[in-house]
Amino acid sequence: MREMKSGRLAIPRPEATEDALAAVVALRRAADQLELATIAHAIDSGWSWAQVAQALGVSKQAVHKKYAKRIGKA
Amino acid sequence: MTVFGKKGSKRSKMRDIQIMGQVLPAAERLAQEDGLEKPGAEYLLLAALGLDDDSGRAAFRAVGAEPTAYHDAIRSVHAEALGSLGIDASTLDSDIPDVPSTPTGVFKAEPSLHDAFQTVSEKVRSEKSQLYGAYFVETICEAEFGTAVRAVEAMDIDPTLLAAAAREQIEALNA
Repeated sequence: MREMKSGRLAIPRPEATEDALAAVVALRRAADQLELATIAHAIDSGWSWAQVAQALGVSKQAVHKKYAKRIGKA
Repeated sequence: MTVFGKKGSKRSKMRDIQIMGQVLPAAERLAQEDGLEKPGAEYLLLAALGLDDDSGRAAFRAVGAEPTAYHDAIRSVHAEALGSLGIDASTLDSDIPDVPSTPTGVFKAEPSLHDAFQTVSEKVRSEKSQLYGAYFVETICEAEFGTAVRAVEAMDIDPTLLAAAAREQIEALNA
């Protein structure tokens, strides 16, 4: 990857675009997995849905709707 | 999403519906077990490889590959991509909570799954065929980009050859 003029973000070289896009997909997947694992851990540790929502910067309803069933806490 | 051919027999239609009733929830469950909210096309293929119908698995075997290795290939594609950024994916995989996967009621999937499913449906309809697992293999292998086909390539399989092997399975079943 090469640096943008700002020096803060990297964009792929043209010949590495497919690999860079695959890295974006993998990052999204990893973020999903990390979010699920962390929220499950937080709820198991006694955090409330409201506290989790505040920490994530989202609404309580949104985080509960997305994760309560998935972590068996509906 | 439509699945079966208009001119298919009632029994054929029922069988296709049963297959879809197996493969879509299976794709959702497999994705959830990997800590993902929605399945992409790679999970559609993974689910199709678990069908009673052996044609999808047979296509893999025909090119000298073990179909059960596809799941690990998906993980390895992502791990390699994350590795290129300096992230160790194994530390994330180990933390995925082991919770029972629960169907959400409304089937939700990534666009890549919808696209692949739509292509399979159109093929089955236009060929007036029954739905076989090999259709999923062929369709995934026709994609140029994406995780599903990258995972095939990660198994050292030429997607073109695997697609041809899948087509042979379909033609043999329809002969």
